[in-house]
Amino acid sequence: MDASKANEPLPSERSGHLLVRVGEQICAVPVAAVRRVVRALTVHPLPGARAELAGLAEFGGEPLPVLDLGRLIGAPIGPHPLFPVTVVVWSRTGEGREAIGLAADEALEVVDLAAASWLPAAGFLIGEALVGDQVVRVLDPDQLGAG
Amino acid sequence: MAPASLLAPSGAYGSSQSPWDLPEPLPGQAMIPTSFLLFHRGGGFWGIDSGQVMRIGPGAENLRVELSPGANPTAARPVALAADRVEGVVAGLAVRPMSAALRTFWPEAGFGVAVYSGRPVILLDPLHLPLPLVASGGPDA
Repeated sequence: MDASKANEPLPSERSGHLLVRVGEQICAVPVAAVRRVVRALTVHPLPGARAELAGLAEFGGEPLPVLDLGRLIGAPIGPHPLFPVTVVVWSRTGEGREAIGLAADEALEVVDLAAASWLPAAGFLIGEALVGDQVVRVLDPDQLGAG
Repeated sequence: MAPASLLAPSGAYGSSQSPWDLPEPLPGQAMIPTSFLLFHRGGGFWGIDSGQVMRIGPGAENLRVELSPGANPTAARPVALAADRVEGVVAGLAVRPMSAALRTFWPEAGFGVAVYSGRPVILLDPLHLPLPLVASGGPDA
């Protein structure tokens, strides 16, 4: 099996996901990929960066790229978002594993999502799932460092 | 500004860094410069091989860091960087390669990344300088 796909759920599997709120949108991040949720890290912007890259931060003595989760998942964001938390996730496994920060509003809870019920999605999303009556966008962290 | 004044004071290295932290280059890997000039620009923190810096002086936008002609032999004339503030020259940075995510979302080519005094630093490749950092115009008189 391709090591980079080791965390990818089979269609019939249920897997734990951390629900993260950004603006009005809820995003689900595979729990296996979550390293830590911390108070917002200080982010230093990079001129010329794509809009999704909020900037670089320091985490655990290492440089950490921090992405704007709202822009990543196409969520409408207010004019002056504060993003009080940073969710630090692993992208990929094995030798290519790297940490990435996601600037968000709030980490909510861990839920089990059944991959079989996801609607297909593109880009950095694996799919969309229903949690209660809320549509949740399921993030694929492995795509964030896919080049 | 005299170059000597740019030297970081003793003990200025981050808690996890020391002048002896310089990573050993792997076979075939480029030699890592021994010291970097660190400077602030546009909210970011940047570094460049201090051996490539020829002169620092006033520029159209705060400071102008002129690189030696050899820094980029393909350039028609010597290249200069614009800096808001110069932090100093530091040795012994633990240099990491640019991560895949960083390369995905920041299209510029960098030499690597490091942390200095708790702040992330992007170390620049003199051959591929990000345009927003390149100084416009010539030096002030």
